[in-house]
Amino acid sequence: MTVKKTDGTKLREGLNSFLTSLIAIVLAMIAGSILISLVDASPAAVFSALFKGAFGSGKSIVGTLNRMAPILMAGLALTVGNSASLFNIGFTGQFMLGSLFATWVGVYIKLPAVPLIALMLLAGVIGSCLWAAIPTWFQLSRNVNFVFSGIMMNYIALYLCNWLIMQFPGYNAMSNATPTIQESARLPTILNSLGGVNSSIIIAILLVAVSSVIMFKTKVGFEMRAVGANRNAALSAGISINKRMFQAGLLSAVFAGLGGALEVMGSTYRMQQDVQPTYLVMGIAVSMLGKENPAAILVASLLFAGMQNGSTMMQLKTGVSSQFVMAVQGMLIIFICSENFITYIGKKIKAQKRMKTEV
Amino acid sequence: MEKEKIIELKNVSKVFPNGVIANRNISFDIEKGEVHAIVGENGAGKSTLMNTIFGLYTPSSGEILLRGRPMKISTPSDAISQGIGMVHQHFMLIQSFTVLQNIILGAEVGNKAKINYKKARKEVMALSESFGLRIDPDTLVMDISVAMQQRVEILKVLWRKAEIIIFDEPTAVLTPQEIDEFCDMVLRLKKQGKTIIFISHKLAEVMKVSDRITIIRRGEVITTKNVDEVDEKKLAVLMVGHQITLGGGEKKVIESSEKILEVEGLAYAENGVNKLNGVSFTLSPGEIVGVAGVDGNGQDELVDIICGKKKPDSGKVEFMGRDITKNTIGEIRDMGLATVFEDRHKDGLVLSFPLKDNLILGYQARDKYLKYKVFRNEKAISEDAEILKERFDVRCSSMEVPAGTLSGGNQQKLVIARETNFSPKMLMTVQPTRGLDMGAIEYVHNKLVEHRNEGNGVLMFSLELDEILQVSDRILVIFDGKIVADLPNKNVTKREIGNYMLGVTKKEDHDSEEN
Amino acid sequence: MWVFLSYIFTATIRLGTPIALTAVGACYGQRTGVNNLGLEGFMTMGAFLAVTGSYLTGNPWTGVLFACVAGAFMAVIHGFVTITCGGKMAVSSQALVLLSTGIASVGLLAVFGTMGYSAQVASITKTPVLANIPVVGEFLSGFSPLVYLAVVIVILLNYVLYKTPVGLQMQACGEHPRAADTAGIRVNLMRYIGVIISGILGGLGGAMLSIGSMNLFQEGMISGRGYLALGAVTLGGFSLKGAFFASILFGFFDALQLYVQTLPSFPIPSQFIQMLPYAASLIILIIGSSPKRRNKAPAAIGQAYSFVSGTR
Repeated sequence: MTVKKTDGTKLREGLNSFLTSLIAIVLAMIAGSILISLVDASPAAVFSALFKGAFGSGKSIVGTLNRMAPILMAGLALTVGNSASLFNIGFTGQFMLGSLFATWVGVYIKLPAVPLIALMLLAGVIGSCLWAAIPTWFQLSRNVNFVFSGIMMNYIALYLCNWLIMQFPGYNAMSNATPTIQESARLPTILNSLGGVNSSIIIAILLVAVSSVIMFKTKVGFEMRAVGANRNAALSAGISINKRMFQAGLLSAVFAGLGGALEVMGSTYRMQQDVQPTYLVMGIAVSMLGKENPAAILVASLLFAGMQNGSTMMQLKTGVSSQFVMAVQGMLIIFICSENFITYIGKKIKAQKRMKTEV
Repeated sequence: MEKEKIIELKNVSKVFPNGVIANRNISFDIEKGEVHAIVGENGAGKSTLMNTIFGLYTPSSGEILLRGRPMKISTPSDAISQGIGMVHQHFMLIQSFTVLQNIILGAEVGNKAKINYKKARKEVMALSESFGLRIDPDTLVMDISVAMQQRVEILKVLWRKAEIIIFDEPTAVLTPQEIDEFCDMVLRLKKQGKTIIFISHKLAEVMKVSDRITIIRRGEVITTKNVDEVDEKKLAVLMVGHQITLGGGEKKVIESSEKILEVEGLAYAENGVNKLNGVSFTLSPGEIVGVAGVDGNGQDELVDIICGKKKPDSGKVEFMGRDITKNTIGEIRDMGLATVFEDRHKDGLVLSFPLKDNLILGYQARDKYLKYKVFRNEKAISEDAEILKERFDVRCSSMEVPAGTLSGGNQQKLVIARETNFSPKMLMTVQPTRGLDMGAIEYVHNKLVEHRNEGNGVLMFSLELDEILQVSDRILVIFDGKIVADLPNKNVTKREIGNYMLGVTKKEDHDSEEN
Repeated sequence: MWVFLSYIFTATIRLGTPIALTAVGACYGQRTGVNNLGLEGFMTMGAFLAVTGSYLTGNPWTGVLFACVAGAFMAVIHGFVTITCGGKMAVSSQALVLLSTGIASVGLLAVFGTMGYSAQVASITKTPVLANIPVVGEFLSGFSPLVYLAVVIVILLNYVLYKTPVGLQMQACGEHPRAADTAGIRVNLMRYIGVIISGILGGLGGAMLSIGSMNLFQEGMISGRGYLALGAVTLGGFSLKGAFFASILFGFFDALQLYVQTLPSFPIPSQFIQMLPYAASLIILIIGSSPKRRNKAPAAIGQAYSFVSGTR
């Protein structure tokens, strides 16, 4: 039996990845600073307010952690979809349907806490999967562009949910929302001494582990990733492309639905009209920064949750619109996409060195 | 009389960003008006060098003189304007454009505001006539034959008034008869004063038309010789650096009455075009059947049907006595019919996956690689990977590296290792040695014969007639979707096979006419 | 009845041409090989900056200029990511949408001191000079000059792409960039020009919706039209003319939806009416697609051809 040498490649690759992501973050901050100075504010003040609001105190950390679950779920959903080359832009609609179904169960089904919560999670999954099945089916059977149909379904979901919310017996016309869910349906909080972090984050972190196991430790996950990495080779290997892509789409929707349910059970406790969740793009960024590595996904989600939480304090202290973080997030994603440029420069330098020493 | 040097290379080197040193201190000259061949194995660096002269790459160091002056070429546009033209190995044609559009692209007739297609057609046809290159200007490129595509490529170069014409592996896709026509055309161009440089690893053609030959090995120039100073055998040794015996080695005599594969009356049409018109043949244990044919005569469709990717319109495929016509790709593989596809990057490997994952691609559902039927058995996978790596001598630092970092030869070895690991009764392979260097080719041929000697069957599709003749026990020729020849490999000549490849009955259309 | 038809007709033109302009721009970019899913963001920026420009100078045409410049600038960014770096086009597109929403929000607060919508500004919703034409003058002057500009641009681009040498070369870049390279064409330059055209037209489309139809900017006013434009390109078979007419069709549904909402008592709930443009375009696209139908998209769409991405 040959002795297996420890492999430095994975570590080196991981380090490279981390460094390029870091450079992207720094560049985004620089670009953001330029934008800030254009509107006559101080970049230093803005970023420090942002940071304080995100992680500066016990209260802010609690707030950040509370915001983390749906972002984490979005990151998972996009990561899983991307692995099979399905860009699940329909996440938003799936999330909403998940929230809706979970709310319905939470309001009307009388059960004790544990089975109720489990049922709500299941309802969320059913809602999101039903919603995802339509565009996924049409993509695979009729080659209708998945991204386009996803986007259309998102808009349709918004209006559909608006109407469905009004159909809830006990609909609250004053606040344009459904009735609130029962006490037993609400997730308990932990770390109450610090201010109470809602436990949806625990479930979300568990789901990250589940997702990694599925994608990397099972045969099904392997086949899905093969489909995403090289569809032709997967076909030649006898993998059923349509089956695996459909499953990946559904898995992504499951995470979307769970995210929707968790948000209702953990923070909103009901569903309002005309509220479109904004987690999709953060999910895209998290999946790009996370690169299928569970630890990286967690860190990236924390980063974005921090940005969201800090943005209110930032607006309070500096007067810059809280939507500014959206601009920064957009810039960050663009810089991450351009990573190839940084690696190219690195490679060119190496090639020049090789030229001098070996030729 | 001192021959004028039209191109001089002085210590030209090229290192790519991925670390590969493609050219190393290359120095030699091209004389005006000569036919100069650049010879070397796959991967030696010949294409890179020519692409540099044509402006697709810039050299990492060194100097190139054109007509005595330093060459200022950094894009193909520069090269074209200085009279250099190139016909690439993989045709640079736009499938959805017409032949005419492809020829005039970049040098359109008319003014900046409007293309004058009428005038262009007249001028292009006049050019085609004067060089004896028959084309059909208004047909879409996707509908013309391989030989006509090459004529279009040559006309493109002549349309831009090239004085120096570079050909990259021009005869790789031609039948012997078409190769003769090509050689005639090269000599015609030479008479018109053109300087021809051509890259090839087909030594017969090289000996036939060249004046001088430069041999490149592993990115370096070995030497430049006049054609009368060498012969094919000497060139082969110079190319590789040592003697090579191809053919796969000793073949055992295996008698058997059973049939591994029986193909009967396969018919298949796509988009209204008949691709297979009744293909029938058999394969017995202990034989290598080589299928020869010009690209596009139904090989791709036949391979797809046998491995399960496509379903025929009629006819059947029987493997080990079972009808597999309707089975899936996975089922067919599980029954013992493994396929090594033509394009290892497209069908054979997932380049971003680690080697050990590539080694189970297609076999990931096998019991030995699974725990509780759902989870991967990492231990078994890693163990098998190490075993195969040793047995097939795959050169890599570990089995965790992505498959994309391996050389072409090692990648092909990996694929063959995987597909023979579960002892398939039949191995189907398409273009098994495409793009490989001699050492790898030798290795692959040996493995194929080894597999055959164990009593299994090998079905080999190849566009390289040399390979077919060296390795096969029996030769089939496919033409126009039918098997038109089924010969034992005894005293068969290339010319004979070539006739079958072109259709023994003369076709009416202009593609196969003689001059 | 006649009132209804004439209303629908003018509304279709008014609502359809912004989508059409964006769609034609997208199609043009795609023909050179660059896909752009983020036109929603380009339209948003275009709409916002058109209003800002009009506000700052009092002249709506300055606003139009601002919109075009913004579109071009964003296009260069998208181009850098996809053409030069070979990054993921869909992701870069979504990033630009996010970026535009963020900048528009920040800008609203900074320039107008408000949140949600801007102040009212000088606009170009009518073309009074045409009123002098007999018979149809009254009718023609009811359209914004931007509508006429859009039609002229589309006719011009159609000619350039299909009849001129440059157009042929650009198409080559979208079909087989390496072949174009060996023919001496500067592939990436052509692609940048293509994406910039799509950017400018996207910005113009947005401007048409803000100062060409009304006189202010409202957050979320684009509401998916940038995506409808992309659907129109697919529906139209990736030709410029097809994209144009498919967009007008989507504009029809948009017009219908707005009209129905004004009716006092319509049996179907308003939420379903609001869904109409999106549901209709999705259904039409589903009907129009089939797995067997040969994909008319340019062969090399989305494939980068650059040294940086390693594909050259």
